[in-house]
Amino acid sequence: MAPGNNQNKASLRRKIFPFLRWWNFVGWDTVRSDLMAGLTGAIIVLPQGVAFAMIAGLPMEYGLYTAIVVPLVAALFGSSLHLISGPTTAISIVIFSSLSPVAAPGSEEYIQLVITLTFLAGVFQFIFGLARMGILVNFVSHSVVVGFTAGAAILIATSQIKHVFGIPAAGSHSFFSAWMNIGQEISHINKYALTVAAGTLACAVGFKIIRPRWPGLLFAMIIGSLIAEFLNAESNGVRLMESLPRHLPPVSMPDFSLAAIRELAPKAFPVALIGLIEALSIARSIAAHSRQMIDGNQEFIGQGLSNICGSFFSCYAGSGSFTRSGINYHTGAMTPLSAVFSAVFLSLILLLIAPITEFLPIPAMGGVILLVAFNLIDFHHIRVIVKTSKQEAAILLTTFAATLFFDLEFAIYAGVLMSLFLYLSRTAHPEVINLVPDTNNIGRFIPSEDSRCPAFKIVRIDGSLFFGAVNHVVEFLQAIDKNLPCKCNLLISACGINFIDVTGAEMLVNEARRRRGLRGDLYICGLKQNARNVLKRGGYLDKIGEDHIFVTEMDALSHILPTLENPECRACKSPLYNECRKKEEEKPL
Amino acid sequence: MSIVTISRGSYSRGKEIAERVAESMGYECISREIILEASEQFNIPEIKLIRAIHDAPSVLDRFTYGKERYIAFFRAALFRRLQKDNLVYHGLAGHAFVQKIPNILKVRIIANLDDRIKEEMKRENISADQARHILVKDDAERRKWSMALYGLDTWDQRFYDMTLHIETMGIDDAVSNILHLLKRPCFQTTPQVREQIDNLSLSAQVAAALVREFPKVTVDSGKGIVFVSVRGSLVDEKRITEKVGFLTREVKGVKKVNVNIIPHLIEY
Repeated sequence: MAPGNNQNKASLRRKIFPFLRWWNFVGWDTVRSDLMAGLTGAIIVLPQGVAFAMIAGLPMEYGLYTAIVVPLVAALFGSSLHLISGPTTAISIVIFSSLSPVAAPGSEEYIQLVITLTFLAGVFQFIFGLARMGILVNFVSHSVVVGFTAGAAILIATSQIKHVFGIPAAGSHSFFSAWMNIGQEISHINKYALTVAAGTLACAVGFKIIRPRWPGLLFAMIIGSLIAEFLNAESNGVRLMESLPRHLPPVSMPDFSLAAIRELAPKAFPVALIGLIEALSIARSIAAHSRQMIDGNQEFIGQGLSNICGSFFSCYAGSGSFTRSGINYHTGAMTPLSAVFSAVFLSLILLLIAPITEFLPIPAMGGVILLVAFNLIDFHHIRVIVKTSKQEAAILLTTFAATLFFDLEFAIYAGVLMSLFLYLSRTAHPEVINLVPDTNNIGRFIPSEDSRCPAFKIVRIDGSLFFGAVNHVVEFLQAIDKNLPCKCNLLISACGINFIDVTGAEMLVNEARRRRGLRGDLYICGLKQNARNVLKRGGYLDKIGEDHIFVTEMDALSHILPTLENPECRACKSPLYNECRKKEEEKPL
Repeated sequence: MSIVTISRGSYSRGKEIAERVAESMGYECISREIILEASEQFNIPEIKLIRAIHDAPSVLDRFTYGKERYIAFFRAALFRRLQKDNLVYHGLAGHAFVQKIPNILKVRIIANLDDRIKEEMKRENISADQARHILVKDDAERRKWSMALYGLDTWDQRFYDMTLHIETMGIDDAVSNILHLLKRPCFQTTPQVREQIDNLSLSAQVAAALVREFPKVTVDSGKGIVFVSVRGSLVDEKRITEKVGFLTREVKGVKKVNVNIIPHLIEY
C-alpha cells in the first residue's frame, strides 16, 4: 500500500480517536509524571466535588461521580493535554438557579432533571464542535486569558480564606460580599484551623522549592492532617471532610421525552455555553504555559461527549476546572493520562479508603488551594503586557476586574468585546506615512516629513482600504492639501494594502477625480494582485487610469516627474527627487 | 584513512571478508569489542547490550526505554572508536549509526540461505531445520530492530554503498572490490568528515551521559556546543536544565550545553 494511503488512514484514526494524537509520546517517564499528577488531582477533587455538588443542590456523591466520568472522557476526546474537567462552581450555580424553581433540590425528580439537562448540554456542545464553532476561541486573546486567570486565581483564593481561618462565614459567589462576610467574622478566627492551613501551605511551598518533583501538595495535605491530629484540632472546631459512600457511579438514564427536552433545552443552552467558555479559557490559559496549540473544535467535541457520557453515569454537567487543571499542570502532568489516572485513583479512593477521607481537615485543603491559586497568576506575562501595550493592558485589567466583580462568563465576554473593539479601531485607522527618497540608498524610500518638494508627494498606506478605514485615509489625504496647497500630485505606495473593498476603490477614484480638478493627479504603485483584481473587476482601474499604476516607486517617479509642469517646480532651488535634478541638468544653459 | 562498515547476516562470511580487508589496508578490524568496551565503560552486562542491538523492541521496551539506554551506550563506544579512523567494523547495527556520514564505506554482504544453513550446521552441529529456523528468526529480528528504531530496513539496498552476493563472486573478489572502492577519494576521511565524526561522537557521549535520566534524549552538537532535547514538563524546565548541565559536566569536549524541553508531541 502507498505510504500516502497509510498516512491518510492514520490521520483519520487520529481524527476519530484524538487520544491517538499524543499516544506515541507516552512512555514510562510521562506515565510516572501523570501518575503523580493523577494522584494529587484525585485527592484535591474530593472536597471540591462534594462542595460543588452541594452548590448544585445534589447529594454530595454526585460531585464525585462527575469528577470520575467527565474528566476521563473529556481528556481522551478533547484537545488540551492538561485540562481537567469535572464539577465546577459556575456550572453548579447555573444548574441550581435553573432547576431549583422546577423541583426540590436533592429530590429524585431534581436529580432526573439534572441528568437530562446534562445530556442536552452535552449534545449542544457536541454539535458546536461538529459545526466547527471552536474558531470562537481565537477571539479570546492572550491578555484576556491572563487577566481572567489572575482574576479567577484571586476568586479561588478568596473562596478558601474562610476555610483557612476556620471562620463560619457564609459562602458567597460575589467577591465583595465574600470579603464582607470574612471581615464580619474576622474576630472569630480559629487559631487551630489557621495553624493547620499555615503548616500545610508552608510544607507545600517547601516541597515546591526543595523537592519540586515530589507530589508536594499530596504530602503537604498528609502533613496537614497529622498537624490537625497532633493539635487535636477537630475537638477545637476544625472541620474535617465527611465520610463518603463506597461505590462507583451507578448507571442512569436521561429523560428523552419531548416534553422534558422542550422544557430543559433552553436551560441547557447557557450551561453548554458557560461550560465551553470555561473549558476553552482554561485550556488556553494552561496552553500559554505549556506552548500547546489548542484545537477549539476538538475541545468542544470532548466537552460535549464527556457530558453526554456523564449523563448515563449519574453525573451532572461539568467543564474545565481552573484549580484542578492548574494543579495537574504544576505537578508535572504531561499527557491526558493524568486525568485518566485521577479518575482511577478517585474510584479506588471511593471503593477502598472512602472512610479515611474523614480525617482530612478542610483548612489543609484550603492551604494547598491557596498555593495553587498563587501559581495560576502569570506575573511574568502581566509585566510584559503592561510594559508592551497600553491597549492590551486595558484589556487585561478589564477582564481581571470583570472576573472579580461580575460573573465569570461575563468577564470573558467583556474581554473579548474589548479586544474586538480595539482590533476594529486599529484596522479602521491604517497608518498613512509620508515617504521621501533615501539619499544614501537609491531606490529606497524612507518615512520623513520633509516638505521641500512643493508639487509632488508620496505616501504609503499600511493596512486594508475597506469601508471602515476610508474616512481616516480621506481625512489624511485632504489634510495634505490643507497644509501644502500645491501638492496636488500624489503617489500612493500600495504595497502595505492587503485588501481593498468597493468603498475603498471608490475612494481612490474620487481622490483621483478631486486631484485632477486641482490640476494634479493620483498615481498608485506596488499594488498587490488581490487589490488590483478588485480595481480591475469593478472598472475602477479605468477610471484611475491604467497608465497611473506602476510597479515600484522608482518606476513611478521616472514616468511622472519628467512630465510635471508645475510653476513651483521652475522656482525650485533644491529638488528632492533625483529625476528633478536630472531634468535641471538637461536644461539648455 | 578510511572507515568501512560491513553489514551481514549470520554465516554470510562477512567476518572473513572484514578481516581480509583490514589486513590488506593495515586497519583495525572490530566487532564484539565495541560491546565489551561499552559494557565496561557504562557498567552494563554484555548480554543486555547484545540483546539491545539485536532483538526488536518489545511493547514493554516502549515504556521502560531499556533499548534506548543500551543503544546510547553502544553508540557512544562505537563513535569513540570511529574517531580513531582506519577501521573495519563488521559487528551489529554499524550501518544504522553512520548513515549520515557519506565518506564511510557501507557494505552489505549477502549469501544464499542454503549456504548459510550448511555453514551453521557445520559450526553448531545442529540439524538443517534447526539451522534454518535460527537463521530466519535472526534475520527477521534484525530487520525488525532496524525498522523499529531507525525506520531502516536492513535489506534495503539504498542504505549501502555496495551490496555483494558472496555466492556469485567469492571472497577474493569481494575483498578486491571493497579495496578498489576504498581507494576512491569519496571514501577517504577528509577533515570535514573527521569534524562530523567528532561532532557525532560528542553527541553520542553526551546522550550516553544523559540517557539514564532522560531516556528519550536527542543530542546534536557542533564545535563543542551541545544542543540537548529532552522531553519533560515546562514546569520543570529549570530543574531539567540544571540536571542536564550537571550530568554533562564531565563529558570531554563540551563547551556549552543548550537545553530544549519538549513538553508534548501531537501528531495529526
